[in-house]
Amino acid sequence: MITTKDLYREFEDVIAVNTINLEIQDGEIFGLVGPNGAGKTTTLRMLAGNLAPTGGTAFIDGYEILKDQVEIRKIVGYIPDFFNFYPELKVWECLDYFAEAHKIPKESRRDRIDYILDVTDLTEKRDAFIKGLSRGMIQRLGLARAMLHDPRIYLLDEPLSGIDPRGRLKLKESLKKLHGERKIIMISSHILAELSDFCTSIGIMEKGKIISAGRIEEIEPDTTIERTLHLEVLSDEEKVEQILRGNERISALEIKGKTFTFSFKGDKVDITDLNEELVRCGVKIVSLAEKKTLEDIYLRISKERMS
Amino acid sequence: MNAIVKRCLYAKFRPSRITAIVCAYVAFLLFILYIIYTAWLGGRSLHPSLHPSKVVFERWSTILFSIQYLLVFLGGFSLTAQEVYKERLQKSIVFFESLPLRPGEKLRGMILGSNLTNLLLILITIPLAVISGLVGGINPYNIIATYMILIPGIILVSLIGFVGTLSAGRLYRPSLFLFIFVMLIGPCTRYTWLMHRNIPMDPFSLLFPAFYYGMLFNGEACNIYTISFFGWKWWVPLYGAFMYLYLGYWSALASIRKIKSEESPPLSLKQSVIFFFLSELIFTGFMWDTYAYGGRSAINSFLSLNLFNLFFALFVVSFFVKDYKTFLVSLGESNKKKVSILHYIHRYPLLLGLIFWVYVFLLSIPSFWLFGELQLHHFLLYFLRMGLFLSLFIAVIELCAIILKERGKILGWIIVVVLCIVPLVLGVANENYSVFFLSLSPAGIFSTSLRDIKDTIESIDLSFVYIVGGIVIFKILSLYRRKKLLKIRERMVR
Repeated sequence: MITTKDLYREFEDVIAVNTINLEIQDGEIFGLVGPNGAGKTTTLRMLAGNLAPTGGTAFIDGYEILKDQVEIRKIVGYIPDFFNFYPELKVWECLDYFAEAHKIPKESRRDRIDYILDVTDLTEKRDAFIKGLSRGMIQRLGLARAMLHDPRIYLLDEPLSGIDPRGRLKLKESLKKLHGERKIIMISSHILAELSDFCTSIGIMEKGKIISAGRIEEIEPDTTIERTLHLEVLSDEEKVEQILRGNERISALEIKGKTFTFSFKGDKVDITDLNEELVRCGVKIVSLAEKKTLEDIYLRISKERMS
Repeated sequence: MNAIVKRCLYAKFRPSRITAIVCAYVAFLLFILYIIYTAWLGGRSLHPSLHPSKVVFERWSTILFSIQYLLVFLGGFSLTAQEVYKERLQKSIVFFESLPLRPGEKLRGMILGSNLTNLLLILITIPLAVISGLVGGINPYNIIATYMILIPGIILVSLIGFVGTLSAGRLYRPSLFLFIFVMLIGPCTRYTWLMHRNIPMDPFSLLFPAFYYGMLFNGEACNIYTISFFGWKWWVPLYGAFMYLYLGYWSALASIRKIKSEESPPLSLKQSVIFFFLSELIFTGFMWDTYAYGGRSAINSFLSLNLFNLFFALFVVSFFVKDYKTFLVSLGESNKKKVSILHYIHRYPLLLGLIFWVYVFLLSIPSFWLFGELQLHHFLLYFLRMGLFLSLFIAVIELCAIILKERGKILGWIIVVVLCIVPLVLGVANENYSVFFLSLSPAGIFSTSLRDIKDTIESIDLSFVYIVGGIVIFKILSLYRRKKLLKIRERMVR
C-alpha cells in the first residue's frame, strides 16, 4: 500500500507538491493525471526515494521514504520521466548489472533476463549496444529494468511517451497482467487517453495539489452536470434530430449519419426519460450511452474548480 | 561482487580494449627504458665507475614512480570525477540513485569501478618500479614512503573527485584544473620542499603530494625528517598517510551524505563544526614545536596556520550557506519545529564567524603565552584583523549564494580569489607583503601584522576601509534580499 501524509516539496521558487494525502491499495492501477508542471514527476521521485520531501512523509508497504530508501528500492520498480542507460554496455549486460544490484540469484538470472526481454519485445536486441537503440527501445529497456526484480510496486512516470503503437499495446498488456497479480501501479501522464483503458483509480493534480482522487466511478459526480451522450439509431434520423433539438437539456448536437453526439444536462433519470420519449415516438434505438473518458472527468473537475 | 564494479568491468575491460591499453602502456614503459639506456650510452664517459644497470634502473624506477604519482593524483581524481559527470550527462544518474545498495556500497563501487583501468596500470608498474628501484640503489625507505602516500592518496583524491563532482555538476572541468594546480604544481615552490631543511616542518605543505614527490628524489630525506605532534615525533610519510586518511574519512562522510540526498550540503551542521574543531586541534598539535621553539619567528607559521584555518572556516561556512538556503525554504515550518541553537548560528553567519574567531584565539593564545616573546596586544590586533577578514568572506559568500544560486557561489569565489588570494600570492611571490596591490585589497590588513601596535594604528589604510565598508554593504544587501525571498515564499504559500 502507498500512503502519503501531507507530502510537501518546495524548491527555491516554487511549491511543486503541496501537502498531498493519498492512499493507494494493493491491486490498484492509479493514474496520476494533470498538466505539465502539476507536480506529478516530483511526487513520483519522492515516492521512489530519489528526492527528499521538504515536509510531510510517505510510506510504501510500511517503509518510510526518508528512512528506508534501500528497502523501498528493493520493492519498487521506477521508470523516471527522462532517462538513458550506459551507452557502452550491451542490453543484456545492462540488465545483468541491475540484476546484480538487486541480488537476483546467478542461477536464475539468465532466465529472468531472457523472460523480461521477451515481455518488453527486446529479445532481438539482447546483444546490441545501448548506444545503438532508438528512443522507444530505450523506453522499453527502462520498463524491462523496472520489471527485472519483480517488484510489488511500480512507479511509472510517463512510460508510454516515445513508444510506437505496437509497443504501447504490449506495455498496456503487461500492465494489465501485473494488475492481475495484484501489484500496485502508479502511473503518471498528461495524455489522459493513455490511462483511460486500464486505470482503476485516478488522482488529478494541479499546481501541486490533488484536486480529486479515487476510483473513477467514485469521482465521477452523479449530478445534473453536463455529460456527453452517444445515440445510435436504425432509422428516422430526421425525427430523432427534431426530438433532440426540441429537448432543452440538449446542446452541441453533432450528427454523423445515424449517430448523434450531444451534451446532455441532467441526471440518470433524465437520460431514462429521453430514452422513453424516443421509443414512444417509434425510434429504433441501437444504443444510448454516455461515453465517459478521463478527459471528460478531468475537464469537468477542472471546470468546476475554476468556477 | 559490487554491482557498480561489475558494470565498470563490462564497460572498461572488453578484451580488445584492455589488451590494447596494456600493450600500449608496457610498450611506453619499455620505450622510456630504451631512451634512458641510449642516453646512458651517450654519456657513460661521465660516470665510468658506475655499473650501467645501476644508473639506468635508478632513472627508470624514478620515472616509474613519477608515473604512479600521476596515475594516482591526477588519474584517481579525474577518472572518478568523469564517472560521476558521465552519469549526469547521459542521464543515467537516476538509476544510480535508485540502486538498492547502501550508500557505502555505492561509494565503494564508484571509487573502485572508476579506477579499474588506473589500478591495472599501477599494478603493472609496481613490480617494475620496485625491482628496478632496488637494483638501481634507491633507498627502500623511499619506496615504502612512496606507497604509504600513494595508497591513501588514491582513496582521498578519488573521494574528493566523487563528492566534488556530485556537488558541482558541470563545474567538474574547472575544478579539475584547480585540483591539478593545487596538488601538483602549486606546492612545487621553494616555500615547501626546499625550505623545509631550515625551518620546522610545515604541516600544511606536507599535505601536498608534490612534497613527497620531491622527497623521492632526495635520497635519505624521508628517512631522517620527522614532524612533531604535541612533542611526539612522527615519521613524515606516516604523517602524510594519516592526514590523507583523515581527510579521506571526511570526504567519504560527505560523499555518503550526497548519495543519500544530492541536495544536502556535504556535511551537516554538527559535522562541519566537529570537522573544523578537530582539524584545528590536529594542526595545532603539529604546529606545537613551532610555537614552543620558534620564538618571534614563529609568528609567520602562526599566520600561515590561521590563514589555512580561515580557508577551512570558509569551506565550512559555504556548506552552511547552502544549508542556509534550505533553511530559508523551511522557515515556513519553523514555527512547528523546535529550532536548535545551531540553526540560529547558521541563520546568522556573522555569529558563526565570531565563534570561530574566539575559538582560534582561545586555542592558540596559551602556546604564545608560554613560549612566545610577543605581547598580548599583538594577538588582539591580529585576531581583530582576522575576525574582520573572515566576516567579509562570509558576507560575500552569503550574499552571492542567496542572490544567484550556484552562479552566485562562483561569483563569490571569484571575488574572494581576486580580492584576497591573488594579492597574497603576488605579495608572497614578490617577497614583499606591503606592495601596493596588497594594501589595496582586504588582504592588506595582514601586511602590518608584525609591526608594533603604534605603527599599525598609524598605518591603518584602505584595507580596513574596504573590509568594514564591504561587511556593511554586503550585510545590508543580503538582509534586503532575504526579506524579498521571504515575501516571495509567503506569496507562494498563499
